Amino acid sequence: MLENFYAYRLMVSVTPADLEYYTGWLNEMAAKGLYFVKAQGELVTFERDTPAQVRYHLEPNSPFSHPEREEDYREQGWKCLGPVGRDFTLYLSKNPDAPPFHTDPVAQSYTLDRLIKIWTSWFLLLVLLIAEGIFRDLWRYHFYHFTLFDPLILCSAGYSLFKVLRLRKRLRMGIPPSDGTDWRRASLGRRLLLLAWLAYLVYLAVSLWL
Amino acid sequence: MGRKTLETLSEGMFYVLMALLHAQRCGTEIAAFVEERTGGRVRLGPGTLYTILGKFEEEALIRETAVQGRKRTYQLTGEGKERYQAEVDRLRRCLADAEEESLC
Repeated sequence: MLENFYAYRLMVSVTPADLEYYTGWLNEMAAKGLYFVKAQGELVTFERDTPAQVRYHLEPNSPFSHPEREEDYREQGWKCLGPVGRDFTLYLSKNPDAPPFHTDPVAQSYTLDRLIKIWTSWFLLLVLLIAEGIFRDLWRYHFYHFTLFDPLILCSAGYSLFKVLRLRKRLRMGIPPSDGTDWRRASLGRRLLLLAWLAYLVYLAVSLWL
Repeated sequence: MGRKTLETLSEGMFYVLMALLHAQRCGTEIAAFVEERTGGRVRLGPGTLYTILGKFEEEALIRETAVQGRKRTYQLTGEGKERYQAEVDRLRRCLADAEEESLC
């Protein structure tokens, strides 16, 4: 695919943790003729084809998803495109008559349970490691050398966790996910975080140089 | 403390239990039953159907009775029947309250 002259690699505009807006972004790209091929970290490879109104769906990997279901999904109009990171699988439907992937918000909320459990564990571990570092410095040197790295990494991890927690809460209340067309507004937080990381890296580079 | 999962059943979940009340069925048959029973009002998307079945199996409300290739057949457990009946009773109370309110 990468050898295809019509392939494009673009930076992810919306984090996959913002499930509904990630697919909203992909839907808009497809309407412009750019179709998802694969995701690699912060980059997504697109392939050019005829613009069309399609539907993408990002499904969290959960105990309820089995590879053998793929054929059932395909029969109902949803094709599996592959993984997005370790935690999600992307589906595409080009058939406007295909039923929505999920029709019950409460049931859909259960697909987020395992993901939230894992991400919460990692976040708490991160908090413990940072706290341990602070405590160790204060104990040994009576001084904590503050760096931007700790709060930045906490914000990045916390941001993703917050997004899925908020989505699950809304789904549990029976509120269906949005159509994702407002992905630009939703991506604002991520862009601010990326800017903060960029500023930190510039600061590091300047510090090393000086 | 948050509400327990499956404390109240959504409409789709309720009809999945109903589909297994008197017969063992596979996923496709459950979806067809629900659509026919509700006259198309309740549709189970592919992700929703298998999530509900997986969740019910996890909570021991249903059990898998046969596997033939991709086709898995399910039946209601005793706990599933109790849960279904509890939901029917809850809906009856809601309906009775609504009818009493409309007579006033």
